[in-house]
Amino acid sequence: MKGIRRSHQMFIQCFMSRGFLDAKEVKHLYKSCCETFGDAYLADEEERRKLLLEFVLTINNNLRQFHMEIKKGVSEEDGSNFYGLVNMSDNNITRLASDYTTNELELFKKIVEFIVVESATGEIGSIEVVNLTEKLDRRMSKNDAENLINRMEEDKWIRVKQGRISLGTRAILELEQYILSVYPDSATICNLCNKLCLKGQTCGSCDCKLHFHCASRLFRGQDEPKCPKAGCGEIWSHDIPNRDVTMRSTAVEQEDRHSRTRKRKLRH
Amino acid sequence: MPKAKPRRQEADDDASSAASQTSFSQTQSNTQAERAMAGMEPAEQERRTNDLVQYLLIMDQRKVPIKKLDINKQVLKEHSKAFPIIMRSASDKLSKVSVGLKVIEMQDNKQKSYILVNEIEQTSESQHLRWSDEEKSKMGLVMVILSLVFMNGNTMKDSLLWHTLKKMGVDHEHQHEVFGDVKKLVMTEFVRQGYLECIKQPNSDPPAFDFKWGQRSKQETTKRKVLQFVCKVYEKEPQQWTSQWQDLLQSEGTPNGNA
Ligand SMILES: [Zn+2]
Ligand SMILES: [Zn+2]
Repeated sequence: MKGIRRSHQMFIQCFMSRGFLDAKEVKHLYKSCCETFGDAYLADEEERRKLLLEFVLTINNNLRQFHMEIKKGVSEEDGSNFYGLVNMSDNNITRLASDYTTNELELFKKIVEFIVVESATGEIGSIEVVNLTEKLDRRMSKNDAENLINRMEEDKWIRVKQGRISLGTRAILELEQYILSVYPDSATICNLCNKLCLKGQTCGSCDCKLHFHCASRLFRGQDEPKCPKAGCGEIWSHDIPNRDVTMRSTAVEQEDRHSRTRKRKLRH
Repeated sequence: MPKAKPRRQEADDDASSAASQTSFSQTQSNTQAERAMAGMEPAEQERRTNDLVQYLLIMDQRKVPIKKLDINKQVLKEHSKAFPIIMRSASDKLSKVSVGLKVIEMQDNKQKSYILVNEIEQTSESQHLRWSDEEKSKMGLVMVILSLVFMNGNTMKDSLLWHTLKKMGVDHEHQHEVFGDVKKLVMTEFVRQGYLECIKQPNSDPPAFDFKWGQRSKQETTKRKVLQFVCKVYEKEPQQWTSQWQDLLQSEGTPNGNA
């Protein structure tokens, strides 16, 4: 393979064990890989960033033949970046990748459909999930459904907070294309960042939607925010959220990171 | 989209798996495999190899041995007779050239299965980055057990292991704060992951077991490293453990000397 060094291998293996890393962890990992195997680690931040991009590009150029790559995603919660090793193929091979039965997968599809089509908040409650199990061809007990939710949370397909379920980091990275192609009429693209937008704010008079963090970014410092969609210009009737991670104190970000680390579980 | 797990259908597999029963490291089946390869376009050979690499990479993330049966069913399918050759080229692709992982055949099973072990030198830093806190604790326990087994002459009765661990504060009779059900963790999870081998003593009632190092441990660590670990704990020099020191030298003198 072209240009793969030990440092790249350590980088890939770390992604294999951890699945997802946030931007800070990636920088830390990169530094550690360089130092362990004597690669140049530049002092200049801008130069170093370029080298890191090149580093990941080399990895992806090589992993692509195996239908895998390290991909960047953006959290709908706070706009923070995260990175994951994801499967790009949708063929038979990935079929075994996840330990889900056909019936469990049916339920997951119904959950995704509810979140994309029915829900205005990009979430679904656990009671609604139990209701969905009744629409399955084959029965699933409440217990089994809860079990499935736990497993899917561990695998980062979904995120559970205070009983509300939304799509997790893995789903955001791997399912965007699927959702856009299966639900072209319901799936909305964020007006600012052009990515799929499930959680966010919607204009009162048109279909314009913005992620919370994108609204924070767009309307920052504005007294009278207006809908950004061309030809609309309606007053933006929502409170402007303070969700942009780049605007928040580092302390909050770190607290976030720690709670995530604590929740990380073994994927056996 | 996460994919559904196809229902098991062992029966229809017999024909194909019987036909390619030998492992990829053995040569007997090569002629047959070569014939199967000859029946494939080069592009198809390449595609299956890459698909197999992807499959191994995905499945390995669960740290459970990957069954040959499943590889044939999910990846090679009608070309499963070419298994030895495709598996060999997939292993090559995985090792030096890309990810730094080595395919190891599990030996303690009637059913052929494989695990991926690390080829690059592990530093404490890389382990720190790779493992969650929970995994770090578990790996600590693995290291302790590997040490105990090695110091005990490369095999250890389960009763002695439980007794020793209990003295160290890991009581198998009670739910452990980090490890939960210790017996289950050691006998099931560590064994499945290839860290330990657990062999039932013949005619034992109630059943008694012997623990040995598993395939993964033999690949990912050495007797020297384990003895160094023990020396650090007891503040001794490695040579002071005479028989272990001899065992270590012997293991380093022969390739794969853990046998
Ligand atoms: Zn956006
Ligand atoms: Zn509007």
